[in-house]
Amino acid sequence: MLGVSPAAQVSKLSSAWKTTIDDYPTALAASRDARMLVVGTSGGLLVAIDAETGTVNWRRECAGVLAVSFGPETIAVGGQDGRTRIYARDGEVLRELPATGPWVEHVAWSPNGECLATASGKIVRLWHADGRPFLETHAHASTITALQWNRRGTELAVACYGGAYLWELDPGANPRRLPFKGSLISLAWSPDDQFVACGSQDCSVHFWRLPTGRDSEMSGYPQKPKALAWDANSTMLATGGAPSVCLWDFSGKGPEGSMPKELAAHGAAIVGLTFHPRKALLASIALDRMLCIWEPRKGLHPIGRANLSDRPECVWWHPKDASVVTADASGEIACWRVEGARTS
Amino acid sequence: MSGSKVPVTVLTGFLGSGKTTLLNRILSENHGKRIAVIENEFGEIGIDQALVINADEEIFEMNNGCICCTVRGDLIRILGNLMKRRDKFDHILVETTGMADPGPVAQTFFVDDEMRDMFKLDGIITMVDAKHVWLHIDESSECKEQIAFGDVIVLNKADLVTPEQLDQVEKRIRSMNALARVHRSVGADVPVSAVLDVGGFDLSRALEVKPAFLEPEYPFEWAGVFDLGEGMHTVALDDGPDPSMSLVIRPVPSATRELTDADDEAVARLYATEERPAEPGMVLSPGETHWGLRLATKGAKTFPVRISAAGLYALYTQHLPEEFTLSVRGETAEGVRVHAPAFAKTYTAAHTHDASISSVGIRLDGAIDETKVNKWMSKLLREQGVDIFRMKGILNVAGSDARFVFQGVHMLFDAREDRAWGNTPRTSELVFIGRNLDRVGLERGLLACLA
Repeated sequence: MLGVSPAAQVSKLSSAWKTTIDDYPTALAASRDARMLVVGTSGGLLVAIDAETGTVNWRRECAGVLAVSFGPETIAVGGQDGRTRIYARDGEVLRELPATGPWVEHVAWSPNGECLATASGKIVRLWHADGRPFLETHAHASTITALQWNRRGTELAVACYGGAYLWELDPGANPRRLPFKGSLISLAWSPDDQFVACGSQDCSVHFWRLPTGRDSEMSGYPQKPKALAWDANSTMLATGGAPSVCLWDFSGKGPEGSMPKELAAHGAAIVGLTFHPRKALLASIALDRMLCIWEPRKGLHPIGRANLSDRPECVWWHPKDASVVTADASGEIACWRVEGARTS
Repeated sequence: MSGSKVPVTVLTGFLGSGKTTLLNRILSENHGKRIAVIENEFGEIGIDQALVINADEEIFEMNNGCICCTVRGDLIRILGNLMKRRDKFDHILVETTGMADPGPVAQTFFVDDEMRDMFKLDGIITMVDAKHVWLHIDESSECKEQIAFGDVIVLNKADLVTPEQLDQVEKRIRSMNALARVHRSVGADVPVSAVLDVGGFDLSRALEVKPAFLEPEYPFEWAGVFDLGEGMHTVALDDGPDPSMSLVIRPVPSATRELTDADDEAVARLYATEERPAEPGMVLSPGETHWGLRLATKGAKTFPVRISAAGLYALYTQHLPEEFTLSVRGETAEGVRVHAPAFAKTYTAAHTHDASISSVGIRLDGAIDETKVNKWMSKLLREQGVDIFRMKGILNVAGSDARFVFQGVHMLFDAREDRAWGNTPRTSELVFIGRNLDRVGLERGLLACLA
């Protein structure tokens, strides 16, 4: 609705801490207790950071990092050498999984930590926590572009060219296919396990209602909508693909026929989106080197913003404190206090 | 922003044409560049200073079915990751498989927003095996497309054929792709400067390579000047190879009997206008009319011509007169007499409709109307974009002091104002490389855009 809104005085977020790891960060993951962050870099560094203070606890050299997943106890790291390595919290290499050929671009621990999924080229492999392999999928139509467990940990969603696949943990079962004619580049499973949303190379977002299989498409994005995020209630889907965040309402009958809310403050394409794990708070990072915090149920203006030193790569909400951690291309890792959110 | 874009060179060519040899040569040369290589075929690269990544070719067609949006997913993924390295690369080389279609590779750098922001396509280098290319050039669409897409074509293994055979291959290649720079080599020994930083997709350098074939070409093959007296005359034809033929008959404006370039240009414009059909027996009045003679009926056909003022008249015919045994006759006291032309001229045949791959170059004096040319170009690309592989041009746009340069890959199109014309002649030049190109249609289309 158009109207006169007060010139929103967007508060600048203050940083709780900043640290630099002196390489290009490509992946960031947090321990389940949210006390420890691990950041992987393109040059082949794995850095453990204290989430409260920003202190670097340890650094390990490895192959160029493409993906990091923090399990209940251990850290899985996918590398450009086609290997997956498992680290303990103290940085010790626990094991190295057998080489799988192409880059390991995605790794994901199952919610209970009993199973690790790795994607290397067109194939996804599942491993027991002790490193024994137990499932290898068929070759998908292209290199896997996204990998995510459902909340219950019963199924694994895989995105690639030609559709998304839902794999069960049963080595004999065939996957459920969510067909799409183009190339999917990202995937976000709603926390209630009801929806799978995917960004596509042809500048659209496609989503499926899993109980019925009914699918819909949002098109017309000026850029690739790679960044996708669901809120904790599975009622809002935030999408990138433009300098504005598009927010689709999944409450009630769903977004079909509705117009999305547009959250406009960034000056360049959105590269990362994440909702707070419990509250209706959204963090966005964009090529304008800015972090914005939104409270989309209350307004279309950001409630806070911060300027980063370089192109942002990763963004993570601290589940307990009202703070957001960003990693940018200069290697700066920063933790930002979201004061407004805490008081509201 | 564009200054910091990393140039990408695509190296294509059939298996055995010498791609790997050229690659090794580039990498081992001391040029001071940090080069990353993406290989789609397993080669035997063992060069230390370069990063070599093997990747499977992954062609992503779009849900909307648009072929010009088909991109290479493997390149998007790998190049995106490469740019996250601290040790930046000065140049990227993509070596395709022998059977690769260069279209999606080139399109990746135009269609994908991330790739477009970070990289600029510098050029497509096509390696051709001078000896074995004859095995493929007629049958293999991949071979033809690789030649058609090339900014630089390296005619390798030149030592395995005779100089005459080499000339023959080069001639054939140039007939398909008039824009490419062709280098002959043995063991891929071309200078690195001939293949890197060639600016093949650089708009301001778009037409630096003057296509040699850009001679004026006209939609007619023959013109004759006749001294006709007042009264009735006849254009007579016999059976010929086509069921119709375009013809213009008009007074010669100059006092001399010769036809000037200006006359030819004026008639070329008339040829671009809609023809007025004429069945045999219909009277053709001289003037600014584009006649379409209907010649389907068997046997001799005549078209009367009424001349109201004696003088010199030029007859421009789409085909050569001998193809239809065409003659101009007039009644005299001694009976019917065949007029001999006082002057005659033949023109380069420009209406060849080649089902294979060819280049069409059009040069045009006179300013172009921007709105008209936009309309024409978007219609052309919508309808024929699939068959137009590459396109480059400079336009002389009415009301602008600057050259307008553009280039395209299939339906993708990039255009902008370039430097001022200054003292250079304001001539529009367009080159199309593609399949089933209709030269006459393209010429007419552009002529109709004159301001």
